[in-house]
Amino acid sequence: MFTLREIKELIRTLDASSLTHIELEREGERLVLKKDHPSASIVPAGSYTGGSTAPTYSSVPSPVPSAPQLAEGSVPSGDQTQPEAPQKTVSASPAEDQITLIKSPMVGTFYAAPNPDAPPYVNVGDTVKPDTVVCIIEAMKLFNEIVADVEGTIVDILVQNGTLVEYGQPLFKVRTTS
Amino acid sequence: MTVKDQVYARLLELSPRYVSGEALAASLGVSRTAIWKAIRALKEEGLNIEARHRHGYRLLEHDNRLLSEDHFTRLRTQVFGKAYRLYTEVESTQDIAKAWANEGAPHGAVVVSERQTKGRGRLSRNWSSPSGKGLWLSVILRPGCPLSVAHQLPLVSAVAVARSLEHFGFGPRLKWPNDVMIVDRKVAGMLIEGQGELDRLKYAVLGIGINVLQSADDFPEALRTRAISLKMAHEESGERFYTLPTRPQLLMVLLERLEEEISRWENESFAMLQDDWLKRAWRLHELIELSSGRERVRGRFIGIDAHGYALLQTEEELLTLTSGEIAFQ
Repeated sequence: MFTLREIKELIRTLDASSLTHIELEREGERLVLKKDHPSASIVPAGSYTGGSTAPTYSSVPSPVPSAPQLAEGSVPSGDQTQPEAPQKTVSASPAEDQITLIKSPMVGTFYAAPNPDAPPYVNVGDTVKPDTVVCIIEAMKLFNEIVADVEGTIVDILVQNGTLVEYGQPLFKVRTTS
Repeated sequence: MTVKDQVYARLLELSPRYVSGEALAASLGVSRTAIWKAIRALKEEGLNIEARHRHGYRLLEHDNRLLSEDHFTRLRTQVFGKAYRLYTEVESTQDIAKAWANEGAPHGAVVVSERQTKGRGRLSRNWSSPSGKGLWLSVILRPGCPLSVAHQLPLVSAVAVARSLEHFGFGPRLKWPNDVMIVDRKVAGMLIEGQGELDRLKYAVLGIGINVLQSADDFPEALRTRAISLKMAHEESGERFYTLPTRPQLLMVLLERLEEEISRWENESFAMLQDDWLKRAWRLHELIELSSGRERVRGRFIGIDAHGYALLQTEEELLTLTSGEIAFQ
């Protein structure tokens, strides 16, 4: 399996390069990384589409490990003939499907940090594991550490420090890795 | 006053001198057997009473006595305090208890220290906890309740703390949601840190600080008008109304009351405890200011609802508040 660290390293490599596409296969698992524009390009004014310049990636486990037909399918020359179609699918619905919301399990005050002088538990771009503490919700002096319960990368923090949150209110957007 | 309380009061008064069983029996107008029974009961409560041939009884090391393992072996609880860790000095009992909870400490496990160098209050504010002057402890709770009712734990715990002080004759008031007051000053405070697992409470660590033996000088200057110890309350009352407990005595009673109240809450519901909280409420029906997050609201404190939320009648509306702190005035 590709580790989170390896994937992050590859994203960084892809980001820094002029490539728009990296495809890797190992032990029956295929990893595809794509971005819409080369790094040098600038997002056109007024057409910001929620991180379209950021690389999107998907880890596709093969149903049959190391099957020969999969190895054939990953030959790069086949993809180059029709670049439009796969890019569209990656940047539209599947990308949204990978976003998970961490919701508040209780009514209370949202605290991003353990105390006013401390740095926040998580920032946008941080990776979290299911047991990573992402914030505290305080209700009547019960300070409850909320854990991510998912593995992924924080892409958005939806509430401000010190504000009241309702039961079920989304707190974080996480791009999940599984 | 029971014979036991009278014997205790007499020993306290005469400490560190001896008083014979005969003299005690005569002054209280009871039999020698009754005195003997009272002494035995007091010892069981954790009092360090020395019995010496031809001298009688005396109370030892009353004011600054260390908590010992001995006290825990005499506990009359089912689970609370059966697992415990006792320290002379720690940074914070809360941190030790949290680490222990993560290692699997059972429900009711207790961490006590004579002194905390970094005792924590709300949001990591410092809690003054000098050596031997108070009770500083953390209790691990695993009530297995949904997170949606976990906020009631501070209120339930506050009722238990109040009841343990009442055992010794004090008349505490509960400041919503988690402080315990005596004559408008804070005698005990609580901090509860929980960890959720999906929508259930995995565990909570209840930190309790009770000021027992401090003099006004022992408190940081900023707290002097707002804090009180049991000893100060005892002295200010002219020592007439209350029995000043030793710290081990108070700890034993506190753990018993906590176990009772928390299991009552687990087995029944908060609605059963609502009245117990309300009849001890501080500033009930008075105008208060409540700060919540960045907001401040003024209104009349109507009480709490069946969930434990505070009800505040402002000029415009009746507010239900889930979070916040009543300001001192």
